[in-house]
Amino acid sequence: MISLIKRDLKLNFATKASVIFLIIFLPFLMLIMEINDIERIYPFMILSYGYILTSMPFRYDAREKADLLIQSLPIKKRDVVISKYISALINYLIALSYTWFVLSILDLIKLGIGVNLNLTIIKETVFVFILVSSISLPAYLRLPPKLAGVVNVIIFVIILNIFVFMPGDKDITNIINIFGEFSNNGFFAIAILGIIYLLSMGISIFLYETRDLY
Amino acid sequence: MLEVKNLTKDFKKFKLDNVSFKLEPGYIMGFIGPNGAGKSTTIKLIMNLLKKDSGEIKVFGMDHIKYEKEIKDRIGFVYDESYFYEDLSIKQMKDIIAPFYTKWDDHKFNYYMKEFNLDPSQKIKKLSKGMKMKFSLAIGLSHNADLIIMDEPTSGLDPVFRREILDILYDIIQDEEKAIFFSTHITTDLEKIADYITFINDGKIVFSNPKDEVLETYGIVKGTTSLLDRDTRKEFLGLRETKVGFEGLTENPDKFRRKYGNEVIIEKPSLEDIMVYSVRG
Repeated sequence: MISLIKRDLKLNFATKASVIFLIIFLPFLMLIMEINDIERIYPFMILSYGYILTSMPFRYDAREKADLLIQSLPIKKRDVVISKYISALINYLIALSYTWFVLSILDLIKLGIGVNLNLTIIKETVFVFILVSSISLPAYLRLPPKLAGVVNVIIFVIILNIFVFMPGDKDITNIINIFGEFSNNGFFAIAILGIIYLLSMGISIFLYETRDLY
Repeated sequence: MLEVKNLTKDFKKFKLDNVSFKLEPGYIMGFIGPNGAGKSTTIKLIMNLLKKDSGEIKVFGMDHIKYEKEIKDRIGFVYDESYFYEDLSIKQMKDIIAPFYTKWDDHKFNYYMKEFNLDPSQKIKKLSKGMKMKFSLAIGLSHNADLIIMDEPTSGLDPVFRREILDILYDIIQDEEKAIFFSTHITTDLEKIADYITFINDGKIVFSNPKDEVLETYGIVKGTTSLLDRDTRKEFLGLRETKVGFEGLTENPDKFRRKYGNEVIIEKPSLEDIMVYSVRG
């Protein structure tokens, strides 16, 4: 299991090109973004970075058909799936840390956006990240790799638009409140998110174990 | 060591139908058949990369799904093409694969790196097809596997390296506890090292027998076309006719010898002859 998680991390940072891409991605995103609501920049950067980190190993597998290689190793299919769900959470933490780091540096040199990382941003992004991962991981683990890539970009863009960019009373905080006053009842919210994530993992295990690899 | 019983997998346009064979320790089994016959499908089913519809696969006496992890720990799998991450170096790729095997042997891996003239720092995308196959072979041989499964390992390789691979396989088999299952188009390779031949055509096993028995059983009969009548034709598995004569593969060469004596020439077929005549008809 740990070897599988390490593999995903190694793949993300395996080449100079990917390391450079991951370093400059967030500053570049800030340059090209046109967001009216400045407070949306933080969640957008965290979610985009986390999404890219999670999808990169899948893209490698799609390009090289390396899932055939991985499947021929002494690994239980269930472990492959569980490792992806754990990797996604690690990727979220990396994305959160790196976004905070980049924006803090920019603040220091007076190029920042003037918004500090706070608990609300973390709650919002955890909710959306788990939702995106819960939908996209089963797709990655079952669909043919190229199709899965396309489907997941669409899923990510739709969810990001609904929860991060939609203005007014449909914004993320209100939607989270449907699940039980997230801000007031942390335990209930965590339980809901946990159930969604575990349910998605169970579905993924079934889909992956019954999948044919060509 | 490897037992496949009544294995069936139905695709829309192709069916692997009731495939059965058995490989014992200490032997090399060649798995031959034309393109699309079901060789790679069978291997993928053994490796549980594809889901079987019915049948039984036992490796080391264990069910291949229930004990998948334990079984794969003891299998060295060599692919028909490179499925490595091309952007990584040989060492990076090895570092990804090695931790999964309980008996991974770095000394052995380094030995093969030197033997095959591979530079661990070289990116996989810079390797030629032959070098990728060498790397794949080094990976497959570096964790003390008891069963080596190879899917077309020699296709596209030069004769020198093909012979090198065959010598390595021959060495592996010497302790009589390991076995090799080897699919290939290049039947001459099998004539050199295989103990058993399993021939698959159109998803069905034509035969699975000791190589010597296979080569003894069949015969290529050559004669003039005047000898061919309806009954004679039925005796051939495959027949090629020209203006001056015929040439056909039969399972009953003695029958022709008795019936036609010196009027026919009977030769021992190669595995390629058996495959070509059986497929063409």
